[in-house]
Amino acid sequence: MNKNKWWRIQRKAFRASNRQMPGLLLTCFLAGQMIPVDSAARGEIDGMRDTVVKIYSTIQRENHSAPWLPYRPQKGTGSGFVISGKKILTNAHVVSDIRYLEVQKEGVPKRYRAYVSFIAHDCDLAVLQVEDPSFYEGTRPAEFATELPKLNDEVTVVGYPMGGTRISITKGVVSRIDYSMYSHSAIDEHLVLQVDAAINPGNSGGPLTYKGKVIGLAFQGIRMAENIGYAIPLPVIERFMADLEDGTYHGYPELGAANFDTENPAMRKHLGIPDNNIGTAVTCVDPFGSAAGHLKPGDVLLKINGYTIARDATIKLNGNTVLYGELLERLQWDAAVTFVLWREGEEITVEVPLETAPDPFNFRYPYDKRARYVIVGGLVFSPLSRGYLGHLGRKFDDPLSQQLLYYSQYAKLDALYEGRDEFVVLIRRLPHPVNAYATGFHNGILNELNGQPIQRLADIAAAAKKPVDGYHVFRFEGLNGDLVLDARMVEGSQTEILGTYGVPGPAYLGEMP
Amino acid sequence: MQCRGYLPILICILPLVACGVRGEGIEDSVVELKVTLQAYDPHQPWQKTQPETGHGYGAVIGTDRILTTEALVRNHTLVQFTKPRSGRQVTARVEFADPQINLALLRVVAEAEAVSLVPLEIAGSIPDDAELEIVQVDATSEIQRGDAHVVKVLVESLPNAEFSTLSFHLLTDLSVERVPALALLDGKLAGLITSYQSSERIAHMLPSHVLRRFLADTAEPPYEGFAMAGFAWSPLVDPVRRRYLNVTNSGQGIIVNSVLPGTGADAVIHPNDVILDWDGRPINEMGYYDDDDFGRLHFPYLIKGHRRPGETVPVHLVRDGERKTVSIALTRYRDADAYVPRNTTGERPSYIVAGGFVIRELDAQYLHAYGSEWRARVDSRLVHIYNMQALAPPEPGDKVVVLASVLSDPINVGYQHFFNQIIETVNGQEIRNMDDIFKIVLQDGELETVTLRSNGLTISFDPSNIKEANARIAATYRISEPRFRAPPPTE
Repeated sequence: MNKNKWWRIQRKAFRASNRQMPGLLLTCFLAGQMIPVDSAARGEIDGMRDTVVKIYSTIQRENHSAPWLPYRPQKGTGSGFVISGKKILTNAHVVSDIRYLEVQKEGVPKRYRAYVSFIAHDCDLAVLQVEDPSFYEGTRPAEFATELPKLNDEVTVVGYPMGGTRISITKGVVSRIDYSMYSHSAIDEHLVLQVDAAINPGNSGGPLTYKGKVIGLAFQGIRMAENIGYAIPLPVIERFMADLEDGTYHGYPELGAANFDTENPAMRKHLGIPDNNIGTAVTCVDPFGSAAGHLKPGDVLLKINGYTIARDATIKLNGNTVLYGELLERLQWDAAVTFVLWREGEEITVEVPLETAPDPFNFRYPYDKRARYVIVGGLVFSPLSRGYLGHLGRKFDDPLSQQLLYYSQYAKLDALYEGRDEFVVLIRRLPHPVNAYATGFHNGILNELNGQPIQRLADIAAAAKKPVDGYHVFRFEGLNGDLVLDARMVEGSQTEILGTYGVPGPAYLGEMP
Repeated sequence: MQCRGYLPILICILPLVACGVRGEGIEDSVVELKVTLQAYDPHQPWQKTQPETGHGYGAVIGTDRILTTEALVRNHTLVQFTKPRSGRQVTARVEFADPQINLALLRVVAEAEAVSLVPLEIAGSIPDDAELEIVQVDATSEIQRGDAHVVKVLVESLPNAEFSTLSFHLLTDLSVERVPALALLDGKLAGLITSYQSSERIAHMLPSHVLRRFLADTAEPPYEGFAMAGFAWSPLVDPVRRRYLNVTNSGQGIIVNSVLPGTGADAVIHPNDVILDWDGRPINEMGYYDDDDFGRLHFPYLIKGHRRPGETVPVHLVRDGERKTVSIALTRYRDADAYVPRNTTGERPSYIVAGGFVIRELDAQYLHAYGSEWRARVDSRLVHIYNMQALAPPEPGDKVVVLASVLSDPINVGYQHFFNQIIETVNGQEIRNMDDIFKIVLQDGELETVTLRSNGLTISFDPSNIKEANARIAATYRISEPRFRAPPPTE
């Protein structure tokens, strides 16, 4: 797999979450089955009893098709565990879009109010904090293992899955150590541990232990599959904790270079490299990634930080064959990597400083951010997000919604992002006489308003202040016909439209970088 | 409203005439058609799909001529017919077929006297509330008749036809089992029923006006076909937009959305032009005009029904706030000019299988071969091009050339995961269509390199092995013809 390891907009990844693999699910709030506590594991569970906590969360998701209307709050439970420094580690998906958060120790009736200190949506981890110091009395911080277990090593999952209220334990073996998608963001791929111990809704955030030491954190499963559960392994947790040391979560640096297996001898010959199975070719470079300006399409990557890269983008790391990307996995936002590469008939050394620049075109699931919108004459505009694409579901059956799908999947590959900071989409019309004829533009990408190019949502507000000869003229991508509104009618109807539809304000522009 | 004047008379005489016709003669004028058909497989264009059989009816319009729909005889390998009350199968050949209007003319292959056929007359004007008779043949080979009356006359796109045409909606008391079925008025052919909605008992009829026009055209070669102007339009009701475009004629005018390159409208009319009058008729803001025969009709009938390709029509319009008069030369739609042709008739496309790469131009047949959910299944880039650019190549002659799939072989290890990629260069040269590829490959002898859109690598083949590999691939995958260059379109 990963022959074509792509950066975060990897189409395979996008597709997978959108349609083909609804099976990958977050185990936080969904159905499963009850596993009784194994008496042989008694010792294990006694060891974790003072470490594992139950998390009660009230979350409220954004509604990306009506951005001013958040969805009904949902209540759910998850697991977490105390770590040194009076903190609790859990999954980001247990505490994202959080409105109210409590934690509870095993056997103690009191629930303690908790807060999210750090949240990493790119690796589904979060650190919580309880203000009441009495909470930590009697708790024992988890002890982390120093290295990953091997396949078939017996591991234990402790937590609060569905099927009961008290602590639960399940056992199994490490089935696979792999590199796989984290469904919380739906685009990030990191190392995972696959275990056959039952991991069920509510287990999320609980520890996976080997010989009493934490080696991972239970986080997702596969629907319609038996005995497949996934845990976030130690190296990912360690990198997360190290990233936080300066008091900020920076996130994973992205290299942003797509690789191509140089298996074909004719291709190797064309590239001018010997037929020795070494070197992976770069097919394209993410304009928002670290490699931009350093690597070029057609480069053949021969070595990374001294490790030889095989033609299929793997390196030998501690005796294992892994994708070279896994080396980057362990690095921080301010690190750099050194490639030896073959370019235009020469072997050269290129240092790539790693960066974590914001990338509005990676279409991660948006969390913990209020949805942004602007309303002009009852027309609701919002930036294209994975949340909105999710709302469209599988209904990409008209040219304009299909255009959105294409623009989200090919934003960078076909350079569709150029001249824009985001894709601004007409997501809804709040019907009113002022916009009665403004049909046929739903899901259109706005290019211009009143002759002003719309690079980002906030540009609408500015352009709407300058109508042209008394009209607001909207121009959309791929459409010749303009949408025209009477500027005076727009002004005169704004309050009425907002009042009628219960919209708190004409715009929420959020905090733009 | 000429036809309205005749109505009282027609209604009076209709029952008498209908009774007279019902019992006699028709068994020599309607035939049951059985068509064996086999299309090319868009994904393996060197082979055909499994043979299938289609059934429908034909109207005898000459002693050896039969009129039916193009859709029925599309991709035929054999066309046979039987007369009612007869089991005898007679072969016919397709003499002429127009997929744009969905009509075909067949000629009986057997000697005419061997099959006794009595031509139907084609009905003249059909009143918009006429009582018609539907004729089909039942399982016992007996003629089955039913009544139908016209409930609506409109201009619409009928199923299986590429463009809108005059259409009659009939309410029937007979379930139409196969299409086309015949509709008669006073024993004359009133039209062909090309589709039927059993839940509403509504049949859609291609009326005699269109049939007559088609037959007259085929009688005098060259066939001219039905005209088009070459633009897409929308109603223009919005008073704000009308004011913005400075359209002062109350209730009049439609707006041009886009203009197709290479047509009569190209460069003559522009997007956002507002057309007030077409060919001397005012067009209202919904796109209707007042037809002499049928009253309120969508204005494309002024092009399809009243004009022919090659004719020029005057058009009054408003452009940039100013009134203008232009004349538009009407043409016939040429599918071959499209960026993504429809290829409704399933013509075998040009293709090359080289190094296991199956290379061809994108067409609608290829996309539709993914099934009814094709829009969800096919790569979003190809769907987007089809949705937004199908009729408008960036330059005349441009096509979307795709690497459809890779037939696995040692020559293409490392490339076998590709499918539905757009090909940009071949052997280092930019290509715009399959013709370019044929020229390059014929000149260089073989496919050497390929580049794909948004992929910075050059895909290379081992030149010392490719000939051998091509032979091996052709043998392994049983490809009789690894290269096929379709003849240039005739029309």
